Amino acid sequence: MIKNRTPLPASPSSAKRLALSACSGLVLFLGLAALLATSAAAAVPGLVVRDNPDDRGEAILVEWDGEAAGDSVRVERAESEAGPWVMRRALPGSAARFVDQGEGGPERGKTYFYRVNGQVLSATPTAQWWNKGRTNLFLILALYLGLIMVFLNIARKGGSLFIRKIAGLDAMEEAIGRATEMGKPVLYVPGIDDANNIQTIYSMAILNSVAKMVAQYDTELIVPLAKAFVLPLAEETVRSGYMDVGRPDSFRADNIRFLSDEQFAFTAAVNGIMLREKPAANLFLGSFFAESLVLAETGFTTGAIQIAGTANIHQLPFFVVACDYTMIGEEFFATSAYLSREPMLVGTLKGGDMMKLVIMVFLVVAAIAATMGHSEAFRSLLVIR
Amino acid sequence: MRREIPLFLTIFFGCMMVIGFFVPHPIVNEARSRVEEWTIILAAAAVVLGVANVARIHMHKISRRDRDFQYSFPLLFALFLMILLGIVPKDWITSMGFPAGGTDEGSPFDWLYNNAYVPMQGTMFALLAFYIASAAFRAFRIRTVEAALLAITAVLVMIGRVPVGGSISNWFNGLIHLDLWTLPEIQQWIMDIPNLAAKRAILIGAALGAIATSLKIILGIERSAIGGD
Repeated sequence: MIKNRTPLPASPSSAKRLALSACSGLVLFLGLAALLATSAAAAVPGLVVRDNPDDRGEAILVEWDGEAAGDSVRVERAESEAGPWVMRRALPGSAARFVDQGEGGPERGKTYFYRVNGQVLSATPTAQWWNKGRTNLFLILALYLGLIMVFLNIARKGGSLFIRKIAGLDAMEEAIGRATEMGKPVLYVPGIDDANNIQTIYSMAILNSVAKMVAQYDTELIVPLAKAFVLPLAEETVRSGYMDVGRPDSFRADNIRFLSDEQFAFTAAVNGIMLREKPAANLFLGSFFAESLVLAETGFTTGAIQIAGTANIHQLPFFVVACDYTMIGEEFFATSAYLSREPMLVGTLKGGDMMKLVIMVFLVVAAIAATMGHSEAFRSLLVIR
Repeated sequence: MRREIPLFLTIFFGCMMVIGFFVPHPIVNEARSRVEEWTIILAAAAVVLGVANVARIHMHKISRRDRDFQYSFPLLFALFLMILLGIVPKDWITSMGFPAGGTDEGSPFDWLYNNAYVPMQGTMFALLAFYIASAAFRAFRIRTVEAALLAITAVLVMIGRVPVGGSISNWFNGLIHLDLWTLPEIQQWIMDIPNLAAKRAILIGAALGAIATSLKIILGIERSAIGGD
């Protein structure tokens, strides 16, 4: 039997509780709805999380569509999907990418989860065996090496290879001869850079040829050095030059002088040598900087024959002005082939000339393509990462 | 063996550096980094050789009473004084009443460097201004057509780069009621087109020469740099 019961009037406290529960429910509902709506709005379009390509496996790349993304993108990282999440970076949406690397970056072979504005994706950094971003450079280098090998082979078989006249190199023997006649020394400055600069290393190759000439003429050769690391290299090069022409006794170790690795202390010391010992020939062959003009002008005032060669283009005008002969850029690197006329070296020189031709053709084609509005294809060919 | 071992080492480490540039894998890359660290250590050790060379040459000079041997005394004194001030324990120097020791700020080493070496270096560098003037004087003597072109170009660039160049152009354009190129525009064109083209040509040639030389040394074709034919 169902009794029609009149509901008891609610006490004031229970009514309050009811109202409070209703309000809390409403707030919770609205909060959840708002949260869902916010998540949906801030979702990052085109989000991709992957191993950063072409590296040693210590970076993860997070990419998204920069144009469609919202104002800001929060990138968080965790070692498991459940967290805990570590904030890695907050970026503007237009940034389009973030590479997680460096301090606190990912470890090789470990899987990481990335939460980007609520979306969770994972990736594992791995090391690559080939940097694809440098394949173009590798192919250019391989082509260059191939050309060198072809001309090396031609030179080995006795093919005639022409080298144009380089006045500065022809004058080198004349300068050394003049120093011999005057009974004065020859000064050879191999630049002020260290042995890790190819110009310094190549300067040692030229020094070897100069040492042979000087030894034949029995003239004194002074080699001031700005880097202690170059000292044993220069000493050995000069000594072997003297030995090659059968005059090891004429070699004087005291003439291979380390002066200072401070630029202007070195310059002052070389100027001192020029003014006191008055060399009749000054050879500046290597990597020079602001001291180039100070050295060359001091040499000019002493009346010495001066021959310079460098690939540092900003110093070339100074040498051109103050020296009798200057070897510009590539001429400097042709010195040992020119002086020795050794077929192997001449072959490599011709290989280099061919590569220049290839570059010239490429530049002409690229210029025509750019004029016709296709520059992007050529530009992308040359991008090196 | 005296020439073969350096050649083998050059080829081995040269190839390693080239391969390391293209292979990012840690096995290759870490070996490459290690070799670079060795270079730094070797360079540091070479300083000892350098100091020994300086000391030996000047001691010989003094013992043989060579010309100008007296200048070797202050050189050796300065050399050993700076070494001494740099390596003696800091406490010893501070106990003598100096504010700091070693190479720290306020130490005698630091004071000598800043008050003796730096002004001398500045003096040497300042000489460059006078050398530029004398070199420019010789370079701009008009004796040939090329020298004339060089001088005219240099004058245009120099005047175009200072404010008075712009003023002269504006005055001249106003005088003849024409809108000709101003001197700053002409100098900019010279710098951006013919100058840059020539500069890039030299750069490409030099870069190719440097690559070819590196390959020649790495492959053992060019051996004179390591003391052999």
